[in-house]
Amino acid sequence: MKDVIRVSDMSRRNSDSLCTLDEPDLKPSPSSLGSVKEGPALTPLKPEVIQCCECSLDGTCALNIARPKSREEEDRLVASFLSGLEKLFTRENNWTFLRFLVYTMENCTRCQSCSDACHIYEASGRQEIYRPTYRTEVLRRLYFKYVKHGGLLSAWQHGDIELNWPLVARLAELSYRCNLCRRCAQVCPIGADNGLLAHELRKIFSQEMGIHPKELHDKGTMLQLKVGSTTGMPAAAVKDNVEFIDEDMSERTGLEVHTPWDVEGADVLLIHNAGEILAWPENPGAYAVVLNAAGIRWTLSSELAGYDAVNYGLWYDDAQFTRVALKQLEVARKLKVKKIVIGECGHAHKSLLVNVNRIADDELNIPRFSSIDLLRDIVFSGKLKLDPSRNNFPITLQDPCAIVRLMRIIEPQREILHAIAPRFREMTPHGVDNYCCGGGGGLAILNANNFGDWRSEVAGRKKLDQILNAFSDSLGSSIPKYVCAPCSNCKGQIRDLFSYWNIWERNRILYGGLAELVVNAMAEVKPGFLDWEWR
Amino acid sequence: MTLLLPIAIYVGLGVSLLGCLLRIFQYARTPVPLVWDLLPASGEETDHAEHRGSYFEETNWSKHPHHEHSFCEISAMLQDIFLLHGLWRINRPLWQWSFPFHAGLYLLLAGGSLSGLGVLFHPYAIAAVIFLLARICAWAGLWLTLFGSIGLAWRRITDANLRPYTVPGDLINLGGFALACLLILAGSLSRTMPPFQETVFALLTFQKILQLPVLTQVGIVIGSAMAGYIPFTQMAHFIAKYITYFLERREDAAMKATIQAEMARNLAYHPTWSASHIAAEGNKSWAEIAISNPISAERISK
Repeated sequence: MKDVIRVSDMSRRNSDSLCTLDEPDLKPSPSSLGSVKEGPALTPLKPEVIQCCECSLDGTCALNIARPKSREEEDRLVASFLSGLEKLFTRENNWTFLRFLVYTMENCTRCQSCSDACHIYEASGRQEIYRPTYRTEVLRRLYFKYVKHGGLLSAWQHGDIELNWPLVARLAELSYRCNLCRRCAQVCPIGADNGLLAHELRKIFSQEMGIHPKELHDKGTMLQLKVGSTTGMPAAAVKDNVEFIDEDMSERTGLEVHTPWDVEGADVLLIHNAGEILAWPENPGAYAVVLNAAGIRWTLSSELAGYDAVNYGLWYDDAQFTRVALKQLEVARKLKVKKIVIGECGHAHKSLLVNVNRIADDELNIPRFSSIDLLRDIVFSGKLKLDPSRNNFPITLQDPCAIVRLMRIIEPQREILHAIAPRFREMTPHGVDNYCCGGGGGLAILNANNFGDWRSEVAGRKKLDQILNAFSDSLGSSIPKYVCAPCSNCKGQIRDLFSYWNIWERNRILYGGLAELVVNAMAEVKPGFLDWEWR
Repeated sequence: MTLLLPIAIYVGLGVSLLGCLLRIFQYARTPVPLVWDLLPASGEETDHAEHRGSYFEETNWSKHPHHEHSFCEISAMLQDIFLLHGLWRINRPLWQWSFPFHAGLYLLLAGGSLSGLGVLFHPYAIAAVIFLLARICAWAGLWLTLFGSIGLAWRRITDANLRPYTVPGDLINLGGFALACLLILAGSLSRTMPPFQETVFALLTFQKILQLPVLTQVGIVIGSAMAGYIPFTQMAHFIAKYITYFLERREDAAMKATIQAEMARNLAYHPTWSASHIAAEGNKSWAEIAISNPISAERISK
């Protein structure tokens, strides 16, 4: 039997992982996937990674933090963390979230009601370190001891903890074992938000110590602010790619498809997650087909950050978040568009429709809404002739946390599916009670070392279970099935999850966006728009 | 009974009130944050409320006024406060102890308030009814708080989920309530216990010296100390809950003049974050950082 991991174990001074993930200990995989593997759930880390990086949490490593070479360097890093911790609780440095942070720090009663709501905790076989309150309990004890300068009385009231480098290194990794889906916050009876605390922890590491996953920072926000997109595509490349997509769409649909660029005064500026253009080009292509067919005066922008709705700053760094969001709004202001429509990307919805609101001044506060709402309006406007029988295969719907739980855009996508997909069925649970795909909070794009294994074995396990259950009447490879995931991150995670578990070969389940299903049902489009090929 | 007892009660209540006000003040003066809410208001008056949707389901949502604090929302809030509806839904085993504990405290609060009202109305016939109600509330409150606090402490000790996160302070807090209730109840069973109305008068008006059983006296002192202690612990979550759950979370995304002014103040702060990409340099405001491009400050690693 494994030892119980305690909060104080975070300070343990050895390089062994705090917990090991063995397959039999995890939540049982769906029976349709066959027998359970034995042994470690994750591919072992390479010896050179273990030697040079801090990987003492759980057998995976998302950040690749270099091991300090001396005790002095350790002390310097701990001092830097402490400085960041103190800043996190000052209004000058953290006015953005201080209110919620302090509430949660001081009022959580540790009733553990949130634990059962967490898909990572459940899928891991209830490993203590993944409990939503575990990392926050570490932070809480540090807060009362080092920020509030509590003495013995405080330790008695709130618990004690030793601050050292092993704890800091583990805490950094642990802040990236949360999808920020905030299912825990939704169920908290007193309104504490342990999801937020994972976000705030990431901020200490990024904003004070310069520690962040490369995929989110160097290849994420920094790249976006440099060339215009997290994909690395400059404007000319995006235009080229979209031109190619237009040609492809024209061929596949039999309609003349043209994407307008930089149209001043357009009714709608559509901003996609630029990753769609490279990974799932049929989604922006489908939007072009639908918007043109509906007669909407729309445009894409080729300005810096204007063709990529992505804002990874939302997940780890307030400065990066505001920089990217303001740039995106500025593009719309310059183009004098009437509205901004956010493509099928969950975190971009939240970033541009919710989080940026209070920092955008009147000029930048251009009306913004969801592409899902727009699609619903178009589908029910009668402007498109739709033939639902073209979508006569089992379809289920992934509810992206940002769009559904956090913003509560729940029905428009369902209204569309009920209208165009006769064999649509829900996952259980769904809507605001949905489970994260396992890629939320930026995790979908983290791939260092064996982190992809962790995403598929632990973070995505619950979603896989839900998907297979939704198709329980049609499993196997004879009937094609479709997971409609109107979110780029969800799609990325589901793609990795399906590849890992060999779902396409075993069960012929494809995933894709919502607009593709609308185009597939358009009577004037050549039949067979959906490409039943694995990608 | 000396004057010590009424003094203890008033000091306890005074400190409690002051502590609650301090706590409210502490939260109220935190800067207006970015919106990070779980939307929407549960009672939002839109066509979407039935399926728990929000105004974001409309393409022209920004043009529509959003109603706040509707009847439904207040009803949801009251259910949550008095029936712990949220806990009932998600953590029934804890609710069965937490509900009596909280209900007991509410009843004690009601009993205390009714007692004060009874003293004010004592020349009138209605006072007898008020004192009867106060007595019922106080009795029920003491029993429920005792039952609930023992149950919660028992769960904290025995439940494998709760035990690792239980600190001595949790048990002392619950133990304090249990002990106070137990002593007051034990003392009140004594033959020497004066009638309820007389006791209340003596405790609240300083006008009479009564001989209360020692157990009751000790219980009242502990109870008063607990009342004063609550606002300085996590037990003050009722204050935070009101603000986070029912005010902040229900705040819609629409910009308001007051929020704009607050935001201007926030954006003028000078952060001191040290990471190079922030480029705070100690002299830049949030607004300046937000419109700056960090590329010049940090090399992109390929």
